[in-house]
Amino acid sequence: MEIIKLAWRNIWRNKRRTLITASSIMFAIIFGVSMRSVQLGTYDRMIDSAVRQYSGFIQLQDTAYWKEKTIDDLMPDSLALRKRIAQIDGVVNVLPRLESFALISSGNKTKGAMLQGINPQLDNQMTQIANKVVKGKFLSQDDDGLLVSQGLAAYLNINVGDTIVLLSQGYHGVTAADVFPVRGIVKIPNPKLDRILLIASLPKTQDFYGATGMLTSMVVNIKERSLLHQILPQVKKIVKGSNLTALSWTEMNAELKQQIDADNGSGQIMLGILYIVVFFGILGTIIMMTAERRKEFGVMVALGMQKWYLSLIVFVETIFLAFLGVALGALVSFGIVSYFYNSPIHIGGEMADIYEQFGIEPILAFSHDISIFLNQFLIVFILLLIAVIYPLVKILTFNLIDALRA
Amino acid sequence: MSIIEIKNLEKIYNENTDIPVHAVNNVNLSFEKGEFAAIVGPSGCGKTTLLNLIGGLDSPTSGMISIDGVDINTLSQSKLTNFRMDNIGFVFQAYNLIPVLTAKENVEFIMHLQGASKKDRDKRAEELLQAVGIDDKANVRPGKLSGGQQQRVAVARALASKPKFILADEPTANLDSKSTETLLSIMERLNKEENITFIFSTHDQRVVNKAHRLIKLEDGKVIGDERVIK
Ligand SMILES: Nc1ncnc2c1ncn2[C@@H]1O[C@H](COP(=O)(O)OP(=O)(O)OP(=O)(O)O)[C@@H](O)[C@H]1O
Ligand SMILES: [Mg+2]
Repeated sequence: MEIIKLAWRNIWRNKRRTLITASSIMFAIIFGVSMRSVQLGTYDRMIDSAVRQYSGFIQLQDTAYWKEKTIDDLMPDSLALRKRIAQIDGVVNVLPRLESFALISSGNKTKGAMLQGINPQLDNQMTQIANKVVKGKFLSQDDDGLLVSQGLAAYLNINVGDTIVLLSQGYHGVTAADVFPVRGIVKIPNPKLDRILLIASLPKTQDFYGATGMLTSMVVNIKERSLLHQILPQVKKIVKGSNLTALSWTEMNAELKQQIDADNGSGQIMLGILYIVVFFGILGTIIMMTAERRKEFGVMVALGMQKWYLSLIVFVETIFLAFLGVALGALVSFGIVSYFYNSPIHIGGEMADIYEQFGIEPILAFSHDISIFLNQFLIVFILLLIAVIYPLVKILTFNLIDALRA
Repeated sequence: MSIIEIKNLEKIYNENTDIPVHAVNNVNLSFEKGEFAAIVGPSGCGKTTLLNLIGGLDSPTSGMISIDGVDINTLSQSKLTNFRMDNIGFVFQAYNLIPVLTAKENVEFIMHLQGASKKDRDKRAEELLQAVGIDDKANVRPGKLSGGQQQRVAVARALASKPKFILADEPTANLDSKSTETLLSIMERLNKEENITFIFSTHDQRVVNKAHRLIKLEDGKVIGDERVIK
């Protein structure tokens, strides 16, 4: 028989029920996709602001540095080592950095800040920091001036062309003190950092701290986050046995990682509950569709239709039902996601503050990763396979005479 | 040779309880090709049960039914289903057409299951609908047909697979007298012109009057079996 024809007509026997069931699937998909899209989009952005714009996905440090973060636990810069790591597949480049705390004075105000010495050209390839200069200009390779983050500049009332004084403790107890001309004001997306960051060239910073040729870290800039699990072991192998250690972003940003995992988990629980509700909706419809056609099934089998064939028809009906819901849901959610992907929602009020606390731009970002869609479809499909067991068992075991008598 | 041979047939419902029902009690019957036989008797005498057993829809408590030499109770469920498809036509009291299929598609239904080609199906369905006088409603679904029209489609459907015989359990019970007359004359004509074998049960005296053979049942027993010379 043309199973398709029979099944298609059968699902339209009760239009309203079919539409209600398909809509429940549709809304589950829309909700599921949108929610996951916002979640994953937010995680991406969190990781992006926290990691790509600052720590990087992998860092090499002196083994002792991570715990105390004192200027005394430095590692020597080594062009050979940097080159070796840069040759690993998927590594874009290796950024030498020297960073520590410093007191900044301007006029009669003083504030704690973090001075980050970078190779401007290399660092910019990862952080795109040059694009974030809002006033003045970016640093040259061995610039003796610095960039001041916008929040800090506002607080201290600093402008391009001003000269500021930095004070700190240098390498092995020397006193660090110097004046820096302000070359530019830079807007750091991470609001926390935007209030404390100073960026200078590496030579000037080394000079300031009295740590010529020394670094706090080498940042391994990788092409994509997904390559991390391939690259990290190779980096670890290279530094094995030395007193350097390779840290991944999840170790350096443990709090962020935990935050993401917890949020992700609660999101999945919510989705789980949603899908349980949808599942029982589908199951209810299938049970009704089967129960009310008992006699008809009996007639078909009496006339010579094999029970497995009848099961197949009911199975196809269920597929149609789900497909309707999934197709509509996919269409609408794809529209929603691509719209908001291109124009993310800016959050205001309390939510914005929460985002800022975690150092993230207050934007509701959507991810349009195809796997988000595929996952939802897969879930619906699996639920369907489970739900369809009921009618299949019913059909395969029904008593012909009882069915005909119904 | 008879096409249906029934020996010592028994059907007992609720056998292992205090109130077993002996719905078919030691029935011995045989049917020849081309018969137009009525099974009659009061309500509850076992007509439906007997027809269901002959049609391989139900299984007997004991005894044997052979159709064209095949003991149908030895067949597996799925073989029996195929056997019904190829050998037996069914007409039900409540028509039981498939509601989502048109009249013509209903007639083609079994031919589809048999794997007949589209051309053959088309041709035969058209012929049969014409034979039952319903060809003008070929593309109408059962819901839009009267009871009499539906039952005529059901007869066409029963004939589609070229079965050895047709079983009809009270085919006219839901029909008014005019539709009953139309249906009966169609069945008679098919019997006379195409030598189609009909075995039907009925309460209706007008239907009884048309039968060529009257099998009387009472409490599951055959109490009379007479041939009527027409
Ligand atoms: N599934 C069953 N379980 C128990 N008893 C049954 C069952 N089916 C039929 N019976 C009994 O078997 C007897 C014969 O029933 P059957 O339906 O064959 O009679 P019938 O002659 O077709 O009656 P009617 O003219 O009312 O259709 C009745 O006493 C009926 O109650
Ligand atoms: Mg009956």
